[in-house]
Amino acid sequence: MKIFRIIFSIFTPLLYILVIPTISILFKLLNKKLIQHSFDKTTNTYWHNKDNKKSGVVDYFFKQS
Amino acid sequence: MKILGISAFYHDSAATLLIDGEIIAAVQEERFTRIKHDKNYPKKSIEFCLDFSGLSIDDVDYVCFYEKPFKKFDRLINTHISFFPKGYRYFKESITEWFGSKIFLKKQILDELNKLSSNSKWKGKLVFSEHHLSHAASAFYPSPFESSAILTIDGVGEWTTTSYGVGKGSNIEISKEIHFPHSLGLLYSAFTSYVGFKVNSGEYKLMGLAAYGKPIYADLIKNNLVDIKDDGSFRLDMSYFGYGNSFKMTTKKFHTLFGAPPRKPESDLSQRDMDLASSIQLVTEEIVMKISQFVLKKTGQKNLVLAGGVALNCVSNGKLINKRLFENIWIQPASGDSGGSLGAALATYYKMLNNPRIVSKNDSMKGSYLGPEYTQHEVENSLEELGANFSVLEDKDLLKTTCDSLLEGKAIGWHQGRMEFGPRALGSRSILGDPRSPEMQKTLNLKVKYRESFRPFAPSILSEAVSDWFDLETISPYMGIVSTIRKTHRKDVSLKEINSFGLDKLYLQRSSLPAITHVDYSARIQTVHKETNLKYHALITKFNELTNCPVIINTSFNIRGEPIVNTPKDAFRCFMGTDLDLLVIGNCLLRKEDQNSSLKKDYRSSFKLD
Repeated sequence: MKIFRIIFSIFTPLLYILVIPTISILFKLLNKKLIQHSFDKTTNTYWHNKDNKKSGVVDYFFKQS
Repeated sequence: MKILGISAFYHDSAATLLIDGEIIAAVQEERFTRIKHDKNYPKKSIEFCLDFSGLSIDDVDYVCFYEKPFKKFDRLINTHISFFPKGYRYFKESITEWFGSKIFLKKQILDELNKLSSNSKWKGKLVFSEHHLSHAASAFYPSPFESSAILTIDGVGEWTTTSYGVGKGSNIEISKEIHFPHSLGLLYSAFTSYVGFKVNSGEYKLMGLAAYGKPIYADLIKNNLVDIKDDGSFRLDMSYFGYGNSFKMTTKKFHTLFGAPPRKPESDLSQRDMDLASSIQLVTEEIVMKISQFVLKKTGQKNLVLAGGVALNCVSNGKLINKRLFENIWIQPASGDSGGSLGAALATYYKMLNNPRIVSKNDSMKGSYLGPEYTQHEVENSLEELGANFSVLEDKDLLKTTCDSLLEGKAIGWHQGRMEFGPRALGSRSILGDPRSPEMQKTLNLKVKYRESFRPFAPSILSEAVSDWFDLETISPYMGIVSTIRKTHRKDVSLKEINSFGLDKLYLQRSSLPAITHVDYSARIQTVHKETNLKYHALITKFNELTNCPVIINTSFNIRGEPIVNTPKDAFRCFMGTDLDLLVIGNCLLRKEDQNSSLKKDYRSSFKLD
């Protein structure tokens, strides 16, 4: 675990610079928002269905293998 | 079937033990470590749960953690991508924390469980429940309802901040959710921070402060910060909030909107602060009410159960009950994250393993008296070791002496039976006083609790007498509901007095029970029941016989910033470190004047102010 900590303390800035902007810009180019930051006057609800996964299965628990 | 539930690593770590669905023990880690809202792995809580039930970890079939860490990590990464280019410092801190420990949470938990195992290898199963399922389970399964609508509202779990669904028998199905960063809990916390109180700790202060103000900012909030739809769902404008990409709750834009920077902690409160508190309280109540109406319409249930941090807003709860949308409402007493340990264990037993559920007539929480208790022998040994002077009385004499002291205006530390689970003291680890005394509120605040409180103290009232004194037609065993004192017990207040400012208003005599009556005649009520706390019920019954008043003051047994006392030693330290006059532990009675003055110790600096 310690080795992971050292690695990540060194590579955190690198990770941020390489990964976060790349994905962020990609999503912006695709005009896709991961998180909505502002109001949406075109909708009359902000509720999300619980069962909104692709598989259609609600996954309440993660079980240890 | 033995199941251990754990909540940890955010705030209010706790553990709960279930045996065949029965709640055997539940406790927060802070009570052992004496660190308020302790977030560390609940080692001592787990040890207590096992000791209390005479089990070893090898007897435990399942351990359930109250949320899914990887889903939470997914939210973290998505949030950083979404808020880029803002928030590098926040990213650095949070990623370091995650890779430092949280990402290895499963291993950490298993390592700890293995350490407790006799052969260094625990053979049970470790499972992870969703955060809001844990809240939902903590609300529904112990409730007295065979079926019910379920509403959970808090800061944030993995992604979910608000959810509703239906519980029937052993099953819970969540229907809809609202996702991070749009959170009613975090909206309330943003105002808590802006008004100068600590997040995840000072929200109850903001709620208490609200009664002094006028909701003049409510429209400003609704027009700018939060968009509320007719179905109660809402979204925040994140340009006003900093919690998505920084350690700050609010942004400069927020401060500009309200015309000033955040109030400095511990500085003087202004009318503006009170108006802000009143405004966000009103908006919160409006959202809770609208969501509840929507949930009623969608589920068609006559019962509602609530959990999540926002369910600790007892003012909002009281208004929801008074609205009578649902026939019955039950609120989990440990609604915050500590209750997640309970919910995780219950969800595993009922939802995951599909065990049959037997509904208890009242509820299955056992009055929330689920923590440690100390035998008379242990109490006496502890007190002797501490050098305390005490006498041992029979129950009858103990109750009479305690009531006589209450009548003399004395402040009493009351330590009896099993400690409460959840944030409220319910007559096991309480400080008691006479609510009829006009001075008692000030005395307790300044000489015992070392604080100025915006709320008066809470009343404990015999359950059978509640409707004679308060406008409440239901029971409130967990102090989760605010209601008003009946008009017959109110006193007229002059216009001059009404126009007084701030805490001066609080100290006005508005009723025959001034120490528990808030400026709007409200009180946070605890109904006391013979079935769950016989001794406390007997004490108030005795007080009623002597005074015709079935009410006493009940405030938590601690000083500011300190977790509620657990052991007799904690209680003695608080007794000797404050101006408490009398301490009753089990059948031991201690008078301050009998104690060796060299044992007096001011320990206020041991705790950070909350």
